[in-house]
Amino acid sequence: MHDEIDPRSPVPLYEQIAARVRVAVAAEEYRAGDALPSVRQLSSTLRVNPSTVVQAYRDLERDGFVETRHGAGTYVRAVAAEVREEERIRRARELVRKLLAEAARFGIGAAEIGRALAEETGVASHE
Amino acid sequence: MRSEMTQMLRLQWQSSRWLLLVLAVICIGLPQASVRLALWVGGDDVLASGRLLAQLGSTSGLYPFLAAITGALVALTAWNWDHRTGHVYALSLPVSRTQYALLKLWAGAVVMLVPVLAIWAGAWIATAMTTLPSGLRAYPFAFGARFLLAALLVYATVFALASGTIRTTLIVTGVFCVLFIGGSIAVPWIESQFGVDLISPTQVLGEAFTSWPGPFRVFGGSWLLIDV
Amino acid sequence: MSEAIEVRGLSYRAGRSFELRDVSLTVPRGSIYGFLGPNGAGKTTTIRVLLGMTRRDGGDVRLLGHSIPGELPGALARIGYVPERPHVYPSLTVADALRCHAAFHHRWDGVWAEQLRRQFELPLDRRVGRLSKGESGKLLMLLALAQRPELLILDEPTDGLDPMVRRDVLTALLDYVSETGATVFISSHLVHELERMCSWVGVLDHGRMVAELPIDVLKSGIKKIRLTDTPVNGHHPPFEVLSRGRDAFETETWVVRGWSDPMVQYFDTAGATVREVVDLDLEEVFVELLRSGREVTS
Repeated sequence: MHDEIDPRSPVPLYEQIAARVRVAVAAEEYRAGDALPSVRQLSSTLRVNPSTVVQAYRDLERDGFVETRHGAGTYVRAVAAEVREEERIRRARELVRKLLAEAARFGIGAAEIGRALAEETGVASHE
Repeated sequence: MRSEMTQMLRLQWQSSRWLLLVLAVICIGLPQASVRLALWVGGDDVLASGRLLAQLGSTSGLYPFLAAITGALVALTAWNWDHRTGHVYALSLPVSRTQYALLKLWAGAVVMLVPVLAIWAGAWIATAMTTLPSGLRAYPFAFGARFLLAALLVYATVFALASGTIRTTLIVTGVFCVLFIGGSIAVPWIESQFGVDLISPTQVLGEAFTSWPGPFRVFGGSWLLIDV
Repeated sequence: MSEAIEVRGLSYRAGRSFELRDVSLTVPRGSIYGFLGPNGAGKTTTIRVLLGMTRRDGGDVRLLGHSIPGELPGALARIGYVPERPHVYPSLTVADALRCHAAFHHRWDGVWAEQLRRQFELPLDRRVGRLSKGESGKLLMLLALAQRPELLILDEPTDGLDPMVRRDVLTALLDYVSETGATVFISSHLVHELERMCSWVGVLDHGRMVAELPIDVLKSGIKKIRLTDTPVNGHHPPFEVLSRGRDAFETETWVVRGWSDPMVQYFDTAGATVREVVDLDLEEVFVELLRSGREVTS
């Protein structure tokens, strides 16, 4: 996990870290039983406050993505296919939301975006 | 405290070892030179002792001077590194300022044993193998002890002065110089104007160092290595 | 448990123009506290006063519960200090410097010190005075960390260091903090770097504290609003206006504090539409705070 965390984003750092793990699980980069980097490792690699990593892992555990084994680290749990699917959908919507917000700044509407999307992906859009 | 004491000793050694080497060489060499010269001047006849003592006496003034220089320079090298770096490191250490100063005082006094032992060795070497004219004896131990005491006194004084900032050291020395020089000028003038007899500052200083009761008396008295 | 650093009403004067006035700050245990301020604000002086190196004129200082200067040696034994400029004697070699520091700090971890030395690639026989800036920076951090302190007070530890060295130094620091939960008080004018690490931020400007907040609160509370026109308003806005102006493209831009989305209404009634609400990064927040000279407290 070497993605750079963006301190400028409105999303809190711990949420960015947790989201990254969630996406990795959804895309099966992390499989069930894989070990996540230790808090110590991750905080120094990303150069963030260790408490940030602790919080991210805590949130992930609460949401059922990982489990912490006492003294042995944090491991990815087996996550049902539906949950992974859900996560992918959530990310897609987030990306779209960002795209639409940005487009709005230039006065570009959703319809124009739809057309551009169709052109880019070569898929006919359904009316 | 043991690790701190050892470390301070190490620091003192590192900052003053070249000085100590030079002083040691002088301390071993000077007695050789002055004794040999005195013996040669003394000669072999009945009046040998008298001449020897007179000759020795004329060079004996070097030793208190050497002792003072030793004490002063060792004291200065004790504080040199701290002054240069603005004392930040010393102030960041987990010892009180008093403790720190005492550690330094101890370390400087210990390394001063090098020139002191050198002068004692020099005195002993200079007199052990020679035949002295009748009636004279050598006193290397007393000589060495006097040197040690004198050096320690000057060391302690300069150490105390140097422990302040460079500014306070300069101020104190400056005030002292002004008083002394000023006194040396003012006193004779007052004496001539008013026809009174005042004591001169030079006299006061000289007497203070050599005869008033107290530790500085060591600078007066006999610095003769060989005596009756 | 007491705070790591508690300062109340600190005042200090030097010469005619420089002073620290009524400086108060609190550094919670286990936090990473960023002490920000422009050059010349008084950060280094504040740190020197905290550590009892310079005598203050007034106020209270406590470090790890010890009052300063009364219990200074006890406090210093538990505090690792990295000064702005190397303070170790330049004539010593790296090996000597390590030995010296170890002799005075009884919790020195020799094994870890050697590990860090190798990691930082510091040659044992090089004189401290001959080290490059990067090597000095690494040595100072090494000395402070190998002491195993409970509190680290770092004065611009990465200033003038190239990015690789900066990374090495901060990584070692964070590694230590993860392991021990030590508190860090780090001053810097390089805001970006601190942004990722700090949980608290204190801002000093011209000798006075301008803000002291948890970092999330500081950032989330302050937003930049881009508007379509200049509002013509009658009433008092529901938020605090830190600054108003025009950006590079002549768009009316306000920087406000205490914003929440429903407040868009305020602009609607004032004849201007909100085009965009932007989150500021810490550096921009910092600049706005200083410019507005406003006191921000949580």
